[in-house]
Amino acid sequence: MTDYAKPLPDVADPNMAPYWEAAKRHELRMQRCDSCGYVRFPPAKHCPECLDENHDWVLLSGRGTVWSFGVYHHLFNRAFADDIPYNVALVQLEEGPRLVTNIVGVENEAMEIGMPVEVEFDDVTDEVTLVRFRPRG
Amino acid sequence: MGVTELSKLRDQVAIVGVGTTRQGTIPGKDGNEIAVDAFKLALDDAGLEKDDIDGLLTCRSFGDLGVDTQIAPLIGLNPLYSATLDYGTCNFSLHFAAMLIAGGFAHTVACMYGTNQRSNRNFFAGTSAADYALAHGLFNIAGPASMALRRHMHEYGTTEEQMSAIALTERAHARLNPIAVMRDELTKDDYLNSRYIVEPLHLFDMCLITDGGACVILTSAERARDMKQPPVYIMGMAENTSLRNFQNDDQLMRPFIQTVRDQIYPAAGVGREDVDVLFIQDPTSVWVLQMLEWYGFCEVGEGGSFIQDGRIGLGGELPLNTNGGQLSESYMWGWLHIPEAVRQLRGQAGPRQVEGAEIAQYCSTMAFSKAASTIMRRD
Ligand SMILES: [Zn+2]
Repeated sequence: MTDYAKPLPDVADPNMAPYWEAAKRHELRMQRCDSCGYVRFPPAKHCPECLDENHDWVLLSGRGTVWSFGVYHHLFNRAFADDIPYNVALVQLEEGPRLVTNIVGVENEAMEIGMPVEVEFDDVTDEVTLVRFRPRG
Repeated sequence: MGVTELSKLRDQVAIVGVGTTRQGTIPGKDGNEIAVDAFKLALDDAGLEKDDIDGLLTCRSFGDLGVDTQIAPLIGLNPLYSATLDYGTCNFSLHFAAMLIAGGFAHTVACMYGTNQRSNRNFFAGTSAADYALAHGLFNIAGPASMALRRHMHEYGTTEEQMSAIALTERAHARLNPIAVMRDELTKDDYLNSRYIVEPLHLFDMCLITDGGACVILTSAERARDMKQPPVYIMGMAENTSLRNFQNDDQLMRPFIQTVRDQIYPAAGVGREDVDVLFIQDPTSVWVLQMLEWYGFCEVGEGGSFIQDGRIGLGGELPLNTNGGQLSESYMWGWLHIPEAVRQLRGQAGPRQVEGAEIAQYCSTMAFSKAASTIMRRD
């Protein structure tokens, strides 16, 4: 775990911290505006719809569909050398936001746009848990 | 909407000078020094002295360069108005310059860009993506571009073989352009057998990384009449943004460009059928596919078949990126398309000349977040 060489998110970022703390507990949580109900991501002080600051970090269903994806063959970062070719997907969550992520548990060749997926948590270091997805039956 | 308002600027401003440096590798000079080289070339082209320039618009470039406060001392000028744009494509700078001239802030404006990103080995491994996305391996604009292309293929049946027409056409044009970096013949087999960068994007769908510079000088239509070169008039300009990122529906497909389409032709007072030569900024071939559709040169979803059979090549119905574009000429953040458009409209494009070209259009975007278009005409 200590030799994890890939880029890591700043889990201490004040806006993002609750998201990463939830991920560490294997929960997918995002801010839902108290005033208008809009679920926002990335996290922010104000609701981009109504500009209200009041919100709850609500538990999401963890379900979504693959909106699209690319398969990286070119190595832009050496830490990904063992993963090439790897997929990066944009997942449309049931609650509205779209999340950049990876789809695990499926060959790249078998991936499809529209494929139903569910969240899977990956504890990549002691501090950081990444939010990935796997096909949902 | 602002259609009639935008048409107020029709033919009020003209491009009177263009300068393009050698492209490829320029060791020993930084981006600002290369921008100065381009400025010199544009002044010479326009028949102007540097003191004739009273407006300066620079463009931020690799290595925290390209800032107006850095460049003005290098060219020894105290312009009436100066500013720096954080992003390229030249279109946004051109519109800014036209506003300055029409508003009386400056009379003659130089827009410039220079970079030594190749010599300094910038491989664009980063993106503007958030750190959470980098953690998942989303590097380079090729990532979101590949998602957009896959979605287009999924919705409309676009194929890799169809897409090859963009890279092949631009290469054929680059072979006629002495400053182009990539001038070897490229075949459909070469394209289809090339490795993927981010599947479904092939190597030849991606722009180059190059050093170089470009400069465009604009002034009022009135002043332009007595200058060295035949003026190229700005007929119409329009822009729109999509700044909310993934919170916008279908952001990667860029439907927000339709708003520019709806304004640019009324602003210019011509239709797309009047465009003799078209330029589309092309960090990847996907931009070309999407903008042909959103500007209405074909129906949305039909770009793949539209680009076949030589239609976008020299001698075709709609010659596109006659300079070879960023896939084969050089990657200057879109700054080389306007100089080529100007040369086409002046009849100075040599073996790449589109016979009788009177009207040119340039369409560009800043990543997936801003769109701009300009329609130009010869005297
Ligand atoms: Zn709200």
